[in-house]
Amino acid sequence: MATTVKPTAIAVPKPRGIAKYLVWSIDHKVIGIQYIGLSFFFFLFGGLLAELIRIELLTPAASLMVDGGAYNTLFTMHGTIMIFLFVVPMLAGFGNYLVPLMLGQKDMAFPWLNAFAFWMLPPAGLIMLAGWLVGPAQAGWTSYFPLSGPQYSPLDGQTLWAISLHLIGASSILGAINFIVTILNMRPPGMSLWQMPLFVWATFATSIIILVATPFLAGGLTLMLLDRLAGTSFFSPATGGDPLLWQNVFWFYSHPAVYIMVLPAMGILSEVLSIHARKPIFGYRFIALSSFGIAFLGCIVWGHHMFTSLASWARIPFMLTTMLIAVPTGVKMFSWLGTLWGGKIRFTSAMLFALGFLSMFVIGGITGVFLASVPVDIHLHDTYFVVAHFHFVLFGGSVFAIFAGLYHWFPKMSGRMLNERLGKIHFVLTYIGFFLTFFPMHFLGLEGMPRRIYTYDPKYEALNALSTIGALIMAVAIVPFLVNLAVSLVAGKPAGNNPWRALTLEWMTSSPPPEHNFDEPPVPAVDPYGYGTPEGAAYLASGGKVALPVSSHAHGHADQPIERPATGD
Amino acid sequence: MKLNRYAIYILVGAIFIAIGVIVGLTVRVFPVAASAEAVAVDSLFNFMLAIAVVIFLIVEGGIIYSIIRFRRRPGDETDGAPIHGNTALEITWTAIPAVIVFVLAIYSYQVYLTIRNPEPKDNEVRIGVIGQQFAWKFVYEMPEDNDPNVTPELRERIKQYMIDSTLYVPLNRPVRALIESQDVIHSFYIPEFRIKQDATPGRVSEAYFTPIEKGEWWVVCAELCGVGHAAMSQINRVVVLEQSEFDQYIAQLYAKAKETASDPRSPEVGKQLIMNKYACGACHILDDAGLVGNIGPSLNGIATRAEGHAERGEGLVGGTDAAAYIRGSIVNPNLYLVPGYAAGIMPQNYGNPNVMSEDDLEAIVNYLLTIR
Amino acid sequence: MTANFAQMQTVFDHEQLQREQALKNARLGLLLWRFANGMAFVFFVFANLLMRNVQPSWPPPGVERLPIALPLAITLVILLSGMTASRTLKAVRANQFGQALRFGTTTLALGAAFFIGLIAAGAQVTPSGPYSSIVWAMQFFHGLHVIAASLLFGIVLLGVWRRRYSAEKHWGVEASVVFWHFVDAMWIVFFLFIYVI
Repeated sequence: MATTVKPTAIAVPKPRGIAKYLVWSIDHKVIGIQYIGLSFFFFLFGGLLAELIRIELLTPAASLMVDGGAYNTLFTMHGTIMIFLFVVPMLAGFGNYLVPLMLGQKDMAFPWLNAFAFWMLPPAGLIMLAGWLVGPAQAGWTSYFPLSGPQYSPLDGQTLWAISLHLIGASSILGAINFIVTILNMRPPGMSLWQMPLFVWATFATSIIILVATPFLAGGLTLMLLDRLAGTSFFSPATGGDPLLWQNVFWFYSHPAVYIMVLPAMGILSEVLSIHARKPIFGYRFIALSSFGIAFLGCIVWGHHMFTSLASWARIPFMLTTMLIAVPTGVKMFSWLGTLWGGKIRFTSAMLFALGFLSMFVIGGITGVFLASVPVDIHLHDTYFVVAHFHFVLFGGSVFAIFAGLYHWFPKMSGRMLNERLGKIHFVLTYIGFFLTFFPMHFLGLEGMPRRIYTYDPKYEALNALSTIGALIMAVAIVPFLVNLAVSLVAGKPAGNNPWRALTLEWMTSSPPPEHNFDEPPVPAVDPYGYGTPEGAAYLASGGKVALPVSSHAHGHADQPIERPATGD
Repeated sequence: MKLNRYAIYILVGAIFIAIGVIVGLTVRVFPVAASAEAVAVDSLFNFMLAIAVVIFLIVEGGIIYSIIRFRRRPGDETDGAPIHGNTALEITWTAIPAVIVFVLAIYSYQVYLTIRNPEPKDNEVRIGVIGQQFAWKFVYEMPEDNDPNVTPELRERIKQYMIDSTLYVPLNRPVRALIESQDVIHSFYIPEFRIKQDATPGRVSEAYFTPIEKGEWWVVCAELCGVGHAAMSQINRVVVLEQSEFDQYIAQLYAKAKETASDPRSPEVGKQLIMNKYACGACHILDDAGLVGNIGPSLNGIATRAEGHAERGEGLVGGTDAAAYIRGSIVNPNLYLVPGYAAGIMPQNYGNPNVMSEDDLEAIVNYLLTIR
Repeated sequence: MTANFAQMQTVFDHEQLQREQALKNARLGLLLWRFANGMAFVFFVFANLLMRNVQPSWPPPGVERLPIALPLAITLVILLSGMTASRTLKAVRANQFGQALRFGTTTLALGAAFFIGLIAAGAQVTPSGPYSSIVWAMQFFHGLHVIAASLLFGIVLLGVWRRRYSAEKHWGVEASVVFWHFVDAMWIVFFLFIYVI
């Protein structure tokens, strides 16, 4: 901690171009892109594993896999990598890149710590991949004991799995501390909490969840390692341990982890929808506060993952808290609809992915309520219905938002626009492929097909084939995106400072921003979502230099009372 | 104008609700409801489905309507209306979902109370369910026996053969399954009954169901349990019988168990144990017993190979003959590994007499010695 | 001349402002670290409680209750070390570096005594499945924090010896003392859950 207070040393020859992203840097923008680049690599790798899974499942009999062990490895690594090495660090990357810019700052509160947190990830990733050298983890990303214990998982990959997650957890905690300090202490003059962009709010709520929940992951992994390496008996019933202890501590972290993966995605969505619909975000305070509602409830619902193992009486309170999460989530969904209503919607690629999120996430939200109901969950637990549900939340939700964010902020990060035509091809193929892959899984689950099997009853074949076709379409869909990235980086249309005519501070500097971000201290707009107001227009016209106080006259429908965000202090 | 707009909202809402109700009443997405509990769960599901459809239509309809109605027209560079919110509306869409989830929670709780029966019922059948890598086995209660030759000690021995690889349950009688695991966590799941309960090692869990439909279905394992998890969902059947057929089955099982207890180490007993008690067929091929597993090495011709191993002194336990090799392969499978197969896949706990008794072990060895 | 002075004043103010901001950040950062670190301690209490919940009694049947004399003694030692740590900070704030060094080394010595006592307390536990596992894990986890706190405190003390800190500028001392108190407090919690409750 003490070291971060010291003035930062400056490396003598500064690497340029791509090279600067491969070495230690304390510039939050470089670190943000390092996070995004690393996690994008793991996204492609995890996606490859997913394609192998779907190809195996094309037919009821074993086709690709030599045995269940190989298949168990596939979905274990797919789940772990997508969660811990893709979605979580990807969103941390957006946070790192955007939060200081959105707050008009030069950097994060602790730049050195920020770099340190990032550089824990490449070793963590390598340790995870090294599992293949010593016999990879096969117990699922949930790694339930006793299957993941020394007796039933003798291969060392399971130990490496735990060590890798330990590093990722520590990295995530350090990052969260950095975000909270930056957000609370480093806002520019003229920006109260209630004038922060909603992405910053979402990162704030997410960071609080990380501080509460991630230490439990660290603790649980410590006990797992002690059981595996030191012969203690926490989880193995053979020596008096309790397998449910692992489930409790694991889900105490891993359920909130869902919100770690979804809340920042929702933050991205609030930005993209408002800007590309050219309309103020609807119900700013409700959206900001609902993140905290979700964060709080998210920490007391872990038992719903254990409806088939938990004591009978304990299932009911968890059912209630779980169902309640639908309320703040619904607030967000309806507020986004309210944002679209009466807008002037631009169908940019970013907006298309945001609309994709809206239309798909609602399905994941609704199926979540089904799974919250104990009697229904008893039937659906550990079936493909659950697989469908969480892919609608994490792919239909987080991944769509991540793509929306990439299309939206790529111009800021690179100084060049992405090609819109390729972007639209990417969106349409992804949308169709996604729906085709995961929607049939609901029916497989309702029919009773369990998860994590590589051979199955032939009665499930037709829907599985459909799902595999969808997965292949998604594999094709990524190609236009990769081409787009490569071509646009060198030959894209120059973006200019503010291609979307947005009001938040990250657009009030050049693209990409200079190393110190802003040539002179930026003046935040009084209302960061004041699209359609004269103040917003004046702010844009002045290039972010003049922020007029919001006048009191109302616009819009005469029969609707107008609520404005506080003007701040 | 104003009235008009609200009229349209109400009309659209009514259409959405009508669609929701129709879907909730007509759509059947589940397999056959073969237990009384399944009927209750299905009604709950369809009730939720009706509400879900309405919410789905409102949101997706709102999105599609906005996309069409509020799309930017070519050449229009202006912004949308600067509406920042509407407190009344926001409170409404916070309150209505809250009310809905409370209703759903109460209804779910009601259904849950009917499908879990902690109090024992007079006419219930108690069946033990044991999960192991990678099959289920089912332990039945012994019928009354007035035979004076059956001492309590003999009865104890007969009891351990009241076991089968198929779950037989009587029609229209409540069943209480007492679920255990020998190794890792499994999950006892019969989709047609809508019941699922984890088999957690170290504790006995319970599940309740009343079969109301005759038929035969799979007993599935829903929790990842290792290499053979997929196979475990297509090994054991559940069969619903008439009460008389069920009584007949129990009588037969008991007669056979009694016979076995008198000569517990015969090869014929070993064959039955391999087929019905120890789930060898989940992993091994053995034509003589109809085993078709593909996870472990084939057992065809095992006696001949065992002699070779015995000559080379590989993996022997309790002797130096072919029997010692087979015994070693069961109680200490890592001692000698057949080339191409990994350590740790064969259950490691057959050396524990509580998992496999001495009699059972010898019976299986004797049987396998006949497989040339 | 005056203009130059005013310019210097601005630069000075700016640096002053930056230092204050950095200190404010560091204080909040340390607070958040203690919160997250504290959650890890809560985890062990949570695990401890869940493990009791599945046993018929605690300690489980057939397992002896642990003797409380030694743990109680080391608890007093660590409380004492907390007091001397506070006095160290106080002395640095008063620019009394000799006194700070005396209190500082006493603190470290008490920390070492606690650590040795902790190992001895660990040796009193006989292997008995879940009970000994959680006791050892808690002692192990706390022991790691004692090592970390001692390292931090030792490095800072070296800085005190080299006169790196002053009454105006002593964030390092403050941070290491705050962390020391945190580790103290966590031991009290662990002591209650291992030995008393």
